[in-house]
Amino acid sequence: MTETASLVWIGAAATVAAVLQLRRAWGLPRRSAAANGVGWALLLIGAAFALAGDGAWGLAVASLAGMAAAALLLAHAGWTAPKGKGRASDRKAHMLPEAGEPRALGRRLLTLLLTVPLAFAAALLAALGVRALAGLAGWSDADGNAMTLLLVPLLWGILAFWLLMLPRRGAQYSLLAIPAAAGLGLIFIGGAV
Amino acid sequence: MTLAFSKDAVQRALSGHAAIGLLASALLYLICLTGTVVVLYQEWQRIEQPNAPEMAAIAPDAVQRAVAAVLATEKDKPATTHLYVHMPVDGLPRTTITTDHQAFHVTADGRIAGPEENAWSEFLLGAHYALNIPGLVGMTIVGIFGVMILALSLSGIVAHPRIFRDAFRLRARDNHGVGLADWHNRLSVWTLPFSLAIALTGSMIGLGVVGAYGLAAAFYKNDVEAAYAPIFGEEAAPDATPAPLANVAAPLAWLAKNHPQVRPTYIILHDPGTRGQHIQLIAEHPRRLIYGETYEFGADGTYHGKVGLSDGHLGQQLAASTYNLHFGNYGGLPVKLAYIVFGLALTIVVATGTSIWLGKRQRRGLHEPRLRAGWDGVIWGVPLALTLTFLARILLGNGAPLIAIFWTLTIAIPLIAIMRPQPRPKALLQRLLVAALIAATLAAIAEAASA
Repeated sequence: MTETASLVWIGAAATVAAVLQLRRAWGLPRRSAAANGVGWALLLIGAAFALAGDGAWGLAVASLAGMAAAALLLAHAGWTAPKGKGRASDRKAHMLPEAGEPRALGRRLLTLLLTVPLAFAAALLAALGVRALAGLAGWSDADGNAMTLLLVPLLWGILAFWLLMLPRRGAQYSLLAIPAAAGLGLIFIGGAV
Repeated sequence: MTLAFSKDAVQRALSGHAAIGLLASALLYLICLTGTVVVLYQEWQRIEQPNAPEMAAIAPDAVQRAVAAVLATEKDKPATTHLYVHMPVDGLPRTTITTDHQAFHVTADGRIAGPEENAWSEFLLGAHYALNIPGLVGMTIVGIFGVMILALSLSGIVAHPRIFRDAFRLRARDNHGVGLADWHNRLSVWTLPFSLAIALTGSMIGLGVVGAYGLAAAFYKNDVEAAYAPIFGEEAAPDATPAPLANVAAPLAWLAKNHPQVRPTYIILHDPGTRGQHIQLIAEHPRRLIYGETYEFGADGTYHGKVGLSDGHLGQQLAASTYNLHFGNYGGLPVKLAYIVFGLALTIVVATGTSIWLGKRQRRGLHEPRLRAGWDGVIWGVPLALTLTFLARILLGNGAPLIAIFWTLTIAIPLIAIMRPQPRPKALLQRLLVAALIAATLAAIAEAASA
């Protein structure tokens, strides 16, 4: 076994140990910061070893080991769970109007418009703005372009979530306008348009 | 561990989570399910065409003979612009040559063995990649669903403050929705790294073209190829003047001599039989997430350099890593099996999300049999349609209209369920699915036995 392979296996083992420790820590009758901390620290150490061993490949393999360990623990929990009589949550999601409630179709459509096409446009402009900034900072085109391709979906996902968390329309408009305007400004400074 | 969010934030996150989840549910479920099944893309091809010649390796001279033989069959067709040689690899130990017009399996000594027949595998990949919609539209739509998984993951964590604290609690035998909610929450927590990786890489792949158009408009005077070139390399200028066929064997020999630790996976011959022809050799590097490095050669087989996907800019390595990380083909069968388990978990998370929402409404006294039956039609109808499509491929052959069969069934089953919601169609659909799975397995075994 090569030295890098050993590091990946150590990292995977630490990740599995982290899952086991978190299982123990979260099952304690009282919250223990120390017990939780050991679990999270093992997870970080595992990730660091796997990364040091074989980079992104090592990290991916170690992550799969941790998730597999958790899946086995879950399978055991499901298998040994007694037949319960717990009452399920009835929290309303407010996705559809209840009987007698107004449909508010206009409000719902505007939310869709904000979170899908407009959030996409804002994410794209912001990502291109960061690309322009990267170019000005001397980054290579390869790094800048790849970062843009990564940022478009990432920023869009975050924006869509964040928009739905904001209670007022004004705040939602600002959340879209600020990154879009900043991105557009940077494109004009650092782009080829 | 309990996440500290205000009650308002939790409620808004739940509303957002439900809104995105319900809007996306049916297609997201289909994308997750086909993604899980397509992890075995290579294995499906072997099942589909069990009699194709297999080999652990192929000699460079045999590849040269095979390329010449395939091109000789196309003398009366328009010249192919790209010729691909799929080299034998562990998961798919076959040599296959694909041109703009056709695809052939070849033998280890370089003779044409017969046409490639992998319509089911290609259909399946197309369903996951682009919902079988031609062009870039389908890919982009699927990319948007990747973004939705990202937003769903974030909102799901905020909407469930005890999600980590309860991460090992699975009341699988509880009725009244508790068990369903536990399955949804536990599987989503423990597959979170997988789901985020799959969603981000999937949306990068799906929305890549849109991003590239943006880059081209802002930085490359609308030249999309120029936006990709810094990452994946430039396409050489064509020269259609006829010329002798390029030396494909020499690059393979060069790679074996100079980089014995890497394994060639594809040869791409650009504009074969012209003065502008050139060769790209893609080689898999062990213990790397990148799909490979691109080694470039002239028509006479001389080495011109490599693109740098393995050791170039970080951005190149990142972009080249998205495919393997998404499809799970970076660690052989163990990683593929892990991807199937986690992919199935993600599919269950999507399916149970809508079921939980329907259950809550039912417990609040809202009786919606059509909605419930329609969702049954999606959950059990999509795998049933997929299985019947596979059965059609085995029974009717490679020319079966797989896309039409699958989408007709996928749309018709929920519609029929909505029109006739009583008795609830779930049990019937489950029985049909089991019967279809048994029939498909028997048909595949019979096909393999007769090969």
